Amino acid sequence: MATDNRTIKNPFQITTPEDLTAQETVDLFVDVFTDFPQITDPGHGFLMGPRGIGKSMMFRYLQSDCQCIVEGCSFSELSFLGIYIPIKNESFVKTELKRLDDRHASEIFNEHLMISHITVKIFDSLIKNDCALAAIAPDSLLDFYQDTFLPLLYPYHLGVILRNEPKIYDSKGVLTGIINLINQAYRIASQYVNHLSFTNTLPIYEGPLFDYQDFLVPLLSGLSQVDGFPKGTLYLLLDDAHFLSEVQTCILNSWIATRTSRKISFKVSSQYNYKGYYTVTGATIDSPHDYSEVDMTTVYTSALKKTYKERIRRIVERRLDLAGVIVPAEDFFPDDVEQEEQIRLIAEEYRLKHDLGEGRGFNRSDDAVRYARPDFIRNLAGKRKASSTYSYSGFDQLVHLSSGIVRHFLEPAHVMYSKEVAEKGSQNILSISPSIQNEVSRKEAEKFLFNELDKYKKGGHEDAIPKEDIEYLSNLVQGLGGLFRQVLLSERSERKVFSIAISDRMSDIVERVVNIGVNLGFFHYSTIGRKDSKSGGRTQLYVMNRRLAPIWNLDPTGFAGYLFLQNIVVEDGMKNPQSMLRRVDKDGTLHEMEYHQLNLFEAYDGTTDLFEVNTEEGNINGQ
Amino acid sequence: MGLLTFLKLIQKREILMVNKYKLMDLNDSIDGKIDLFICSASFESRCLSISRSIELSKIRKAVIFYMKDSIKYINENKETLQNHFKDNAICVELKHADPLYTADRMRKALFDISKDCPVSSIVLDITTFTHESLLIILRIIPMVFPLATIKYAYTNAREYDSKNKKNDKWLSKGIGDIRSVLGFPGEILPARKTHLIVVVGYEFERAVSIINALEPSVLALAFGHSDNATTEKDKDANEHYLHLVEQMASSYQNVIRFEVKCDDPFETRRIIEKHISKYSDMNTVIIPLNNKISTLGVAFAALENPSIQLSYAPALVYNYSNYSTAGDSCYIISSDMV
Repeated sequence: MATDNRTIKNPFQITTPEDLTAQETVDLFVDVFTDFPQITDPGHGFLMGPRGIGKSMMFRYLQSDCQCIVEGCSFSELSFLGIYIPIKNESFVKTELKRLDDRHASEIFNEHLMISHITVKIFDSLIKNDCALAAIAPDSLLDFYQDTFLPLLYPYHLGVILRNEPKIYDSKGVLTGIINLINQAYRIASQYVNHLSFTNTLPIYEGPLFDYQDFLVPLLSGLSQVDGFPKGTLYLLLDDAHFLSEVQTCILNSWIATRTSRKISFKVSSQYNYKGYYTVTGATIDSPHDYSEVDMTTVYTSALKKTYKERIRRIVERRLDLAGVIVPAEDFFPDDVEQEEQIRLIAEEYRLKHDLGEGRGFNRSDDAVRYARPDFIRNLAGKRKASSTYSYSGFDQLVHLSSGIVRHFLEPAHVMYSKEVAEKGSQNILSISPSIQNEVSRKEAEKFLFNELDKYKKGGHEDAIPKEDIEYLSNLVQGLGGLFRQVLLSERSERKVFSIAISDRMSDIVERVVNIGVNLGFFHYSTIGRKDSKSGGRTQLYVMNRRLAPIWNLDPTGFAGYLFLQNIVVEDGMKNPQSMLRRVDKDGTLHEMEYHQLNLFEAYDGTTDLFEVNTEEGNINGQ
Repeated sequence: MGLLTFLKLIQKREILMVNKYKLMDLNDSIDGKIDLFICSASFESRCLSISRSIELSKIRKAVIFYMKDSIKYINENKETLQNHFKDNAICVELKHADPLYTADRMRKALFDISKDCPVSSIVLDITTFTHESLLIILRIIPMVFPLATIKYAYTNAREYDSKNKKNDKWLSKGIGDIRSVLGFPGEILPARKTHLIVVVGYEFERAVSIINALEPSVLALAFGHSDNATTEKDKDANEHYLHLVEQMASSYQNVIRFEVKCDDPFETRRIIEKHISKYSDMNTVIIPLNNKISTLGVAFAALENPSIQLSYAPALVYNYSNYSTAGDSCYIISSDMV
């Protein structure tokens, strides 16, 4: 048997935040809380976003051990106490628990499991935090143990003796004692779960049953009175709450509905498949009444896109710095010099035209920035039939391709780095060659589209997405990609397009399929003003994920326009992707669709996206 | 001779046996009657191989399990099995999407049989059970027939996904929710980190999805080494997919790799137990994705060590039309107390 433990030193290594030390977390983290003030303010909050956007890292950073380093203060002086609680699939998704479904016991028992889990994580985080251990007064903690903790456990026959002569006097010992007792309670519950495997008759549960109101709240209230504890709000940072079952989700929502947020604020991160906002009583929790909500994707693909690029730059440079490579992000991911020179020459021609009064843009560089790159791509496709030689390289393009998700930058960067090391035969890497950047970016795009769609495409089980819908989505993505490509290659003056909106009423089938596309990450969702602006209101806008751009050799930078399509066009495209292509004539005439674009100032610098703009003012008819 | 040594000598010993036969020789290798033959109808023609190779007169009773969710793909083979066993067989419907239903149906079927007739010898054809349903029935059989001797039978595949070249071979794609296998919830403690072992097969894409979803602190990839692969033609593909898994899981600084035996569950159990002993302070989760013999080994390890959680991620899509071609050999695995 061969065993191979290999250590890869790659600056773009992604490590689960849970496994990072406080110092590593602080070193790697790029502060984004100015973008998300709700997260650090007291009050319950949801942080939504796909995998890899940085939710876990934010939560880990808010944990008290990191905050002591960040603030340069003692544990007692922290303005809030963050406890990071990753929700793990293996802890919460136990098939046996389904035996309790639709029975009253389900809520009570699941709440006990959740509270036990959270309680252990709270005390475990304290015992692993040297700052906390140094600050907490042992006598006061022992009083808490005797006067608050043990009485809460006393009714449950866990061998607890009240007012016993204490045998432990240091904080670590007290915390260990607490963890052991809660673990004991958790084990009793786990053993009960084991007994549910092969029985239809529920066995009697005789172990403890902890709940939020009568166990955790008084426990934490007592803990906050211990000398040396921060006096601010306690933040329970529940990470990956999409793993919770429906019952567990309702329980969490019920806690959020209890308005304890001044003392205990739940900060909940989840992917978009969070299982609803109902409480155990069937009521709902509502934003902003009960909680605030941040969708990181929306933030990073719209108003704060410039911030996103800066964030990636800081992440890259910080990681390189830690690896001993002091170079700007742009130098580490250089452009394809020859390609950029040719684009620069085209841009120069536009500037000269503007000087001759032939330009369309307001400023001298407007047309250059808007048209030079699409012209270059069109030229490749035209005379030279060489579209696929377009190089997706350079820091700026890679940021655009990552489409607002940090992991989608870091993962390809990791592969690029490994390839560069393999190619050079050296660990001393000061830049990634454009050819490797391009090769990896194109492979990532293909993997994303074909692997992801293919795996759902050929049918499945009762609970899978209907095969037909996946077929429709596949056609729609391919059709739209082809359409955007067609627009790019046409004689139109405005050719950058990567998004669509429906100009009339969206049919159920289109809405269903497009929403599946949003859930699978092929589209980002936003809203814009309705086409008929006089009637007011907004309509849905669907932006194709930029990771897909290389499939059709599209320009991923600064998408300036979108198409208003009639519902029938989309519906036809879902059934026959080729039908989309027939909507664009070679001269650029659009049929049953209209082109809209940003105003020039906001479109040009590549730092804003189209849907933050009042599009009505930039409405240019496709004809 | 000391008392302890004497006691050890008179203690029963477990004899572990793995024998490989040509299917045409299987019947001769089986002595006596089989009180209960258990198999699973599948879209793979391999589900017929073992039952067809044993004389009907040797089998007193047969149970044919089948997944209702996939009935349109498996009905033909299910009917073939039914016709083969005639009145000696009962068909029991299971649901891939509902492990509780599956477990309850399995348990009831076996209990009903236990009431009707004594069962002291069982042959369990593990070839075409889903990984999850195999693990569940491995928990149920000893509960219903605690004294019966069990032989596990497995037919190898000549080749997997024979119509595709090795780089394009696939058996299933996509994953739904990841769930613990009923009967193997493990002892998962909140403060412990996660140690995930994926026993990698062809389904590299599923493995990657699982790893990405669980984000373990320690990731171990167990793979079947080519020198004991049960399918001769697929040694290269096996290695190729392992390479891909590694590539996809490049977010892990230390990926631990070790080999398991695809033709010897007892050796697989030993290797896994040895590996796990190094991580006793972590929550260990194992996802078996390789062949059913290695899955049997994983089950043996988990039955021995209940702190291990076995998990399962149902595929969204199976390569129904071209999953495998049946081989001409089979394995008979037994652990007899003597």
